[in-house]
Amino acid sequence: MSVERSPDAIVIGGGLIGSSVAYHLARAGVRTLLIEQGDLASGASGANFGNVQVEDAEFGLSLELTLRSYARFASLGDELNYEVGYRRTGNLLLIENQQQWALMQQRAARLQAAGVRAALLDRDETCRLEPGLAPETIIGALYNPEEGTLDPFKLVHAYALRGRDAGLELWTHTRVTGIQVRGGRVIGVTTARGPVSAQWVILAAGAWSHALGRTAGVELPVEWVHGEALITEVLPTTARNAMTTAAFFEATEGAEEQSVGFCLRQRPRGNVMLGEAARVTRRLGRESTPAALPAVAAEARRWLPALRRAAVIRSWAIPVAFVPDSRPLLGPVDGVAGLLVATGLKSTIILTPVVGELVAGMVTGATQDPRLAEFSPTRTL
Amino acid sequence: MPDVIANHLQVELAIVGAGPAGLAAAAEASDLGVPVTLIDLFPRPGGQYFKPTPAELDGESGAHLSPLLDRLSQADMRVISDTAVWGIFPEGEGYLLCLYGPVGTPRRLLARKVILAPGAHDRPVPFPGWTLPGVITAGAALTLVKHQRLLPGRRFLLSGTGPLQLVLARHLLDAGGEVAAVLDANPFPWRGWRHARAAWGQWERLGEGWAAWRSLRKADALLRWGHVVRRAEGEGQVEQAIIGPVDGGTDEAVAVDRIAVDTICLGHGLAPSVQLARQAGCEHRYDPDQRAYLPVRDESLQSTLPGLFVVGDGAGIGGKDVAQWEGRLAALAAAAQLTRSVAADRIAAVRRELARQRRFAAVLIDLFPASAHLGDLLTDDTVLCRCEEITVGEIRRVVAEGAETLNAVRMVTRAGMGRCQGRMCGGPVSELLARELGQPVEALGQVTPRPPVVPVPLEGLLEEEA
Amino acid sequence: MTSSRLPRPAGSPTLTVSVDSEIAEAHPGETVATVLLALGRQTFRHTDHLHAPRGLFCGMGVCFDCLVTIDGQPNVRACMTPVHAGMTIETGGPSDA
Repeated sequence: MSVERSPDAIVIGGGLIGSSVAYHLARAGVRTLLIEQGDLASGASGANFGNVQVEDAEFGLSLELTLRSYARFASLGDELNYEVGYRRTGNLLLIENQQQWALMQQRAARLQAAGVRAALLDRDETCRLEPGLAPETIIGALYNPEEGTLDPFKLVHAYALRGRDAGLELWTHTRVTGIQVRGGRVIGVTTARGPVSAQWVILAAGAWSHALGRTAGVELPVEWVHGEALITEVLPTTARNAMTTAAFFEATEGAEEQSVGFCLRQRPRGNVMLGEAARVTRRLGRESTPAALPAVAAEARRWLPALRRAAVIRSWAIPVAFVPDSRPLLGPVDGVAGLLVATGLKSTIILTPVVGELVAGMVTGATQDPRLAEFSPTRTL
Repeated sequence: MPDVIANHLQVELAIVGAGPAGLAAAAEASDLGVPVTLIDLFPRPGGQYFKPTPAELDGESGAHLSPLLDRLSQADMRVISDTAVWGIFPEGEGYLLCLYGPVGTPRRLLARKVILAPGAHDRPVPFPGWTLPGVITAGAALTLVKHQRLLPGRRFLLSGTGPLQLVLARHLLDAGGEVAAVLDANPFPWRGWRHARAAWGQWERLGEGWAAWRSLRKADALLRWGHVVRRAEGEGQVEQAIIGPVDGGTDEAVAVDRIAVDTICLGHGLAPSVQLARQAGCEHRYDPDQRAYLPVRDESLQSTLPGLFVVGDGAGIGGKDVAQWEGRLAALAAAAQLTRSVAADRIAAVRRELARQRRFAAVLIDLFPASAHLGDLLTDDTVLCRCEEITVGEIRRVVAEGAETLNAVRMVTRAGMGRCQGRMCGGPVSELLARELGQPVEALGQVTPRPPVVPVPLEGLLEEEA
Repeated sequence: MTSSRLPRPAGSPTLTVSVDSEIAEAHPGETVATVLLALGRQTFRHTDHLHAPRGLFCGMGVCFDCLVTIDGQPNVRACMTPVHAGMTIETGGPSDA
């Protein structure tokens, strides 16, 4: 980018959200610079299982936006003119006990009322759908046959590629060291490559958003877990649906110890992704830990015993951002004009089209929905 | 993490790899009264250099490969064979090693000091048709003919560089095979005379090379310098090879020959197995002479992780003698850290011998470097990542679409994401990227190997056997 | 094809294995790869995507090309597996994912 003409907008973070926001901004004619500290999708986006999920949306505005965003997926591949591997594979929320059953029952009713094909299955029906499941682990599942999966790396790559086609500038392997604020408005960022001025800064940096928010004098309520997962060698068809335990919906204490919330997805190539070991932490690290790998392995073996001899060929570990009230941080920061935040989404991929659209609209003025205040980054939790 | 370390086997010194470096380290440590736990991937110790031939195939009572192997039956040596170390994690002042082996093998080990001697594997050098059955590495050919007593073909082409090719050719001829051609990608080593001093005393090696060369001349094998196999062709297996000069253009522009062979042995030197050291967190730096990332070590061969040493070919290709003396030096340093008394003149003697062996090893690297020009041979349909079947063309496309690092290419194309965990394609993809982007390999970033650094069955990751 | 065993010691024992449902003779100490190559079998499997033939490449267990099904267990490296009496070896076929 030539030093003479600064961008209008800087997007910090080259993951699923950042790349979508940058793409939408560039397409809207906004001169945009995307700055990413590593490779694109090298944060939590790279650990994403690729689920395009409706079933787990929070109700209310989140669900409405989710459905709106989901509608764009049918044509997203064409729009981006890139094969992102989008397939309708189906999704199961696995129910282990009566408390989860009650929660999923409520969930099913509300999803159906919103027009989503979600159905409660009993144990036999679930095991018929997925013969690999150990019957003793479940009493049923919440099933949506229309949910999809895709390759998150290809999606980010495609957003970035088409963004660049529309004039987007990209800096990878460049750390943003601070967001500069003067007189209650953002004036740019400082980076390892020097300062860059801009009127708009969009913070889409996942767990790293917290520290960056502080440089602008904002305490963002984003927290994170150190999330770890495994992937196996290519295997014959083992699971047709993506699966997640409904335990994720049970109220948790947010303890420091290692917990495993089971999730699984078999990629089209055949590798089975298994997760997720999570530990709430304030450290930002990428190391796999010797306690988490066996914990994930034990859980996976419990749910799908046939996987016991499948060779594990890789693991990963990354900070995965979340917001304690399960709603994203999305929108302008009170008191700092020009600073927008887009992070902490619960189900990220499915929301990338609508978040990109909304955030670009916040810059161009096209976004005017007052209900979005629900997601204010400076709200009190 | 108390749950992780409770009830784990605790040792003073763990040595990973029972090749010459690991065996020598074990012997030296044992001489100083340090009990040794030696963990090795293969069913029997020896690594590649001292690989035993199964007695049933050999007729001998077990050829005397190295006196170091005899030391293993000592009381203070515990050998854990057929076992992979799939991850190393700092734990307190030592290291937690995660193991997977046959029933009864410990799954976790806590070691105060660790010596990694993981060795190397044949450097993969892709060319069109290299995935055809019948294309094997020189190491594979040598293993088959020497240790499995199998002649792995009838009519052979050897393409690569360095005197090991002559050794292989000799074995193949002695076994009754036909060697159609031996191609060395490097020019004739005219510069060899400059290394006379370093070569002094290495008579056995020089003698072997000379004898092999004579056998080949007698057998009418084609011997060409500055040549490589450009393409392998055949219906489902190798039937012929197109050979030509290394830095040539198209077939039409340079003089190529087509020779009928059924087996092509690729001997382009060795690539260090650095995955475990990198996963543990040791810093590595790109070495342009070896065209590989090598661990950063101090003068006692300690890595950037305190108490963790890396020795032998796994730290940089030097051959079996350099490996042994490195093993000894690291063992002395580890023993000193374990507060054993170590004689200064022993250290000095080991350093001297190591330096001498390194001088000769350096000659080979100077005369037979890994060729920089082989990327010219790649066509868009050449498969680069064998596991995931990613072609040169796909990688070029993704680079044109903006991928600028090794990691970025991997993530989008899945090259390096298969069972071999990038061991075969890592080097070739880096070199292709370097050419496409006009940048040196060291500018393209590293990919940090993640545990497990070898494929391990899911239940093998557990701390306890089922 | 063309691989051939070098002479074994006089009186050395043999054992039998099955290779794709046919009985084959082998010697203790041999790997599955050796037995297959000695039978003239260079192609051990076909790849998932391009259905390309693959066999032995590195011979030391790092390339994972020489995969066969042994005693019902799929994707086992032939070059790293010593034969035992009665072993069933099956070649060919991609995984059906």
